[in-house]
Amino acid sequence: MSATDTPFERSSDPYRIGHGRDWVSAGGGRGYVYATGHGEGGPASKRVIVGYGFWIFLLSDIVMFSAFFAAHAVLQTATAGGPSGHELFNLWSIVAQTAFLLISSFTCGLSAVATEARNHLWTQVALLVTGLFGLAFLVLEGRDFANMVMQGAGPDRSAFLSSLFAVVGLHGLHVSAGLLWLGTMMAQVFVKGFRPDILRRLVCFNLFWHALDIIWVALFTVVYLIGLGR
Amino acid sequence: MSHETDRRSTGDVGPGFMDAAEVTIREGIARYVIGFVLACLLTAASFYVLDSSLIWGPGIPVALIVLAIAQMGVHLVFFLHINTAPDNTNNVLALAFGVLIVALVIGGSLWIMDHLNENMMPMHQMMQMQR
Amino acid sequence: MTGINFVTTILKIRAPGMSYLRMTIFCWTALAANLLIVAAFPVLTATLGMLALDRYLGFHFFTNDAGGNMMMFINLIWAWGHPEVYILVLPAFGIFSEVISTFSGKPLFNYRSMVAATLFICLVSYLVWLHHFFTMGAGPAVNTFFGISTSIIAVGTGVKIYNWLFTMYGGRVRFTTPMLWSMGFLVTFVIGGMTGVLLAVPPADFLLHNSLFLVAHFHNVIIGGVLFAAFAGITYWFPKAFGFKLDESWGKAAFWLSLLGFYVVFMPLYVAGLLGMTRRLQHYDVGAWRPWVLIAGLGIIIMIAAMACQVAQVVVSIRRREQLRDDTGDPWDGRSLEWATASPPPPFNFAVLPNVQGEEPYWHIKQRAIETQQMSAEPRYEPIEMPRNSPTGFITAFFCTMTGFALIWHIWWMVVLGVVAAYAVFVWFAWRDVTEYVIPTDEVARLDRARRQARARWLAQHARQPA
Repeated sequence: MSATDTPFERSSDPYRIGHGRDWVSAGGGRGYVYATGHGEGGPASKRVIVGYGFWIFLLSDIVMFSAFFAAHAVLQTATAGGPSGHELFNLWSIVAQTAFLLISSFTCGLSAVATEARNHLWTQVALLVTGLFGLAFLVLEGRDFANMVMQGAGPDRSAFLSSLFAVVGLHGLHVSAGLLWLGTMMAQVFVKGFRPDILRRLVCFNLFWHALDIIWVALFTVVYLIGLGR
Repeated sequence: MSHETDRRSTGDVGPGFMDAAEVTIREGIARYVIGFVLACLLTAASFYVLDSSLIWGPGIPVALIVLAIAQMGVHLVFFLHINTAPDNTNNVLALAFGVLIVALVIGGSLWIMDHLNENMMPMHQMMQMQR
Repeated sequence: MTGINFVTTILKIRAPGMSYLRMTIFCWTALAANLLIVAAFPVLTATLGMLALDRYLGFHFFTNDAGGNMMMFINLIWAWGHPEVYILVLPAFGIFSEVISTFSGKPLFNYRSMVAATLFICLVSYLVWLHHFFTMGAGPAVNTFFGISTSIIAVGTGVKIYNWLFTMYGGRVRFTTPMLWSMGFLVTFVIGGMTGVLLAVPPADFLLHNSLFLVAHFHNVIIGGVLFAAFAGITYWFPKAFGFKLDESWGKAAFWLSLLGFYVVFMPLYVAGLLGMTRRLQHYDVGAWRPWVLIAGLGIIIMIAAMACQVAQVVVSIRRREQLRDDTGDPWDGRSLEWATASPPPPFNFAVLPNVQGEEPYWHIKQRAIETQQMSAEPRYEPIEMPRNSPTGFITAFFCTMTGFALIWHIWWMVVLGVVAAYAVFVWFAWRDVTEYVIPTDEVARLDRARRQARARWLAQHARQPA
């Protein structure tokens, strides 16, 4: 695959960056160096680089959510005479949404296992199931929002409701974007197979989807469950 | 099963990878199943705690937050494969940095806004002054 | 994106042997600044998002009625705003570390404390943001905490200033244009920093908040810090990027006029601020302020002259570029690895990844070459894979701009079109099958041999005792 096959044991990733090796042959020739976080082994493999970069992105996304959480925490008593969480939240809907998202996270993990085994069928099946549960989550959430708006408790009613719609809605927006991405990934896997860059993207998608569930854990705890207690 | 299109790590693993050990399909699935079951239990516990008299009333938010943190940990370990092995140091440090910033933003904002609200004139009074 | 890119690059794609404590200080400050970018800009996104929701969809985050809290906007925007100024100034500090050590002919003094100071500043910058709104009523407890933390953050910068001074002390200082900018920075930034610490005291800030004293302070640190660093960096790295130096005399003229102009403009503003003049005045009728404002106005003329010199510098340099040409790639007798490449560097930067064995690897390579009077052995060249360019970035940006424009004027169909098109172009980018191209061995060898020949010529001309 690589234009420069040599006797050295090479990275078999043909899409490696630049020189793509951990061998240090220029100058001193120190050979294969194990890095334990000190990073002396030279440039990391593309998988690691892409995965780590996406991890940093996820952390920045979580910081953005935290700003919305902070706003919600500050505004949760600012109901301006309008309805509070107690009167609005449909507990069973929230239970269902939580269950759906958790199951979709689980099936996403299963798709990762299938991808490891390079099994096209099961990867696509697991991804499809993930998408369906994600879609179900969005449908329930959309219905909740629509009900609230119809009751006159839309985001323009009070600051509390604004912050609620914003933080939950932002999460829903991320889920929607994730579903778009999921569809694109399923198409790419179908058309191009398990190419290394497609594999890297699948790992990024996995990270993203699990992170969304982590944020949902924080969301349903703080916004709904603690909000219900008021 | 190894990743035949990417060599084994040089002692550095990206997050979300199961590189660190050669994992069979069975082991891989088992990890996700265990994580899923634990997460279900913690979720059920959260909803249960809300209504039952198991926890003293004012302590309920604290219990809920503890359960949430536990569940986030379950997700991180079982679904995202974050562990404390030396090849994962960068990932753990990045996570710690993120958690610190989140704590500063939320905690700082709450502290500041609480004090500001105490000291500022209520809004409807201020609006009336404009008339 | 920038933040993610730089953090990942610095943490994951360093050359072999380049452990953390062998990186140049510029890399450390770049890392710290980009960590701050990753940590702070999401808060800006969130805050502006909330504002947009308020304006476009009638939400009530910051409104006067329905429970909105306008102070929360102030809180959140400054939670971004303060790390932002450190994002501005940390790379500037990095530039000065490079420039000062190169033109003093010495390694940077106390590298480890510089790293520690950088990371300290990075961390504490997230603990001070309330000092932008001391007067908004948070009360003594909160104000005290943030006042103390603001004073503490100055310690990190103080450590750096002393290290730069000790780097210069005992060195053979060359007063080139970049060095002049650095020395101007050292004096100017210290003054600006000191007035910052004055403002960090809440009772003092109650008098000086939103006065010209504040305006003078932040211009002092931004001009003295960021702007001077920009000019120092541009002058320092221009030959690396373009292969010829900038004209020294025009550069020096620009420096002196900028320095003079800055002081003439902003020192009177400190005085005016202490006399009670606030910022953002459309007109004023306090006679005591007049002389100071007029002097500041005179200073603006000096600054305009300085800017004219900058433009002249570029024009003259381009016209005289053959006389200013630098063939070797190392016009300043540099110490860090970028000076090992040709000027301008080939697309792959280094033909073979350097094996880093200590701090200042390029300096040691150079000294060894001078001592032994020979170049290191020619390395074994290999083909190099480079990422392919793509226009999709620009095109996506165009559609995003279109979306923004349409949002301003409420052209809703254009908003939808922009978003859909941006996504479609992105999918087009993601659908590429070939993402890299290969530079063949002969081409790599040809480019690198040209560089080596230029260096060999320089070596022959500079048979001298090692530094």
